[in-house]
Amino acid sequence: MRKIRAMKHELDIRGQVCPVALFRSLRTVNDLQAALSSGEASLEILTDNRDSVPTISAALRNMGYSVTVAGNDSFYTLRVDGGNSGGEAGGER
Amino acid sequence: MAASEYIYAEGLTVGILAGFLMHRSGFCLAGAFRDIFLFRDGFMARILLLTVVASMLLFETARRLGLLAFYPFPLLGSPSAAQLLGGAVFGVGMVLAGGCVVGTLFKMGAGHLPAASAFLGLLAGSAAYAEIHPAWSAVRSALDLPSRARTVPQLLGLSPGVAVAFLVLPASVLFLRWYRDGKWRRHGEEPRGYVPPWAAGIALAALGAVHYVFTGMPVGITTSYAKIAGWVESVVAPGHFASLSFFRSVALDAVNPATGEVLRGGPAPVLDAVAAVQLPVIAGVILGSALSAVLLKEFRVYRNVPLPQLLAAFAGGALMGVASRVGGGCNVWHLLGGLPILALPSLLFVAGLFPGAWAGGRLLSKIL
Repeated sequence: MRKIRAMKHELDIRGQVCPVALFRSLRTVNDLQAALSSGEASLEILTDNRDSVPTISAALRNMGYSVTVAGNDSFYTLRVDGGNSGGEAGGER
Repeated sequence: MAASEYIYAEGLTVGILAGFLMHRSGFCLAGAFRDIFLFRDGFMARILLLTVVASMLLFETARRLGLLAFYPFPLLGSPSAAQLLGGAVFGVGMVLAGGCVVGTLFKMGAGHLPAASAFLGLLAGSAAYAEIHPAWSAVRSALDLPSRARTVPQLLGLSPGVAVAFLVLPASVLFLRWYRDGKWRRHGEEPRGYVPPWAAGIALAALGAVHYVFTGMPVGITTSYAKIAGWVESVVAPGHFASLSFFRSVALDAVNPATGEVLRGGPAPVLDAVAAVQLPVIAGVILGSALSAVLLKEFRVYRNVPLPQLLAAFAGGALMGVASRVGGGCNVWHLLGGLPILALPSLLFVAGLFPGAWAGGRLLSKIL
């Protein structure tokens, strides 16, 4: 089995609040959709806006992505992997 | 005010607890409207509805127990198309600002620069309104609606209790259905020290009821934004400040029927009855949120915010500052104060918030 090393992307939105934080996260994920879905890329979103942790992770899971959250000193890192291409931004939650 | 020390202590306590809870839960009233249009997400709208219904029950209980000095409360105004207009402009502003008048306070308390920019915008908007106040006052009376009633029960000739029961019962069925469908929580990860928004909503409704009982009015804060703006203007440009009739106007002029106390105040930068009921809440929300952030070791100011976002937040704050004066109060005053007693001015303001939030979302997506 050939091992593929995923390219890491980082979106630093620390200091930014909603709705811009969610907006920019969804836009970045949509830009990376093909690479994230194939496992060629992973994305780390850095945010210090507490409200963004549940909203971004819920929105991305709704789109079929895997999201894990790690708490750092004064911010959170949301790691986004995988996902299918059938999801869409938004949707009733 | 006699007993003003108690009013200051009560306002500060309510503010600190509210700021703490809002920071822990991410309680965002702007999101309740904005997210429906921008993200097709009704989560915060459900939380807001729960908070309004809880406030409705608590206010009515307090009224029945004879704990409310005023019902309806002073500063409510009469129904007018001005509230519809004010709500629409406010809706645009709160989306651009990334939070409403209290959202701005608790986010600023936690160290967010866009919220500080929105706060400055609110002061600028309040000062800008002072410039147009004479012209707006002349137009304002032409926008009054013919109804002399101030609440829906008054309009329909019903007891407030009957109207509340008529709404609370079907709302309770809806809430149970949402509970069964798991719609009271987001299906995402939770940050440290998270308070579920539904619990925060009920607690905020209780704090609002306590404030109504103590002060005779629900929570409102924007006249004090005008006070702060007026104070700055009186220092920076005293000659111009003296020429502005807005800062000599009287917004509150009522006598407490239980105690005979005269409650009088307005946007003038002095410590009057308006300052007593509003300024401690403002200070408390900032302090409570900052306390929550410090306890979680999350307080830190990140400066790498793109300039367009700071400018959009400032513009949004300015729009909210003007709209609060045009619409007879801010969203907190109307949503968590007027709506629970089915006040007609508040229903008009809230009706305006929907198209405003939609337009604000469209505008923000183009700017950013």
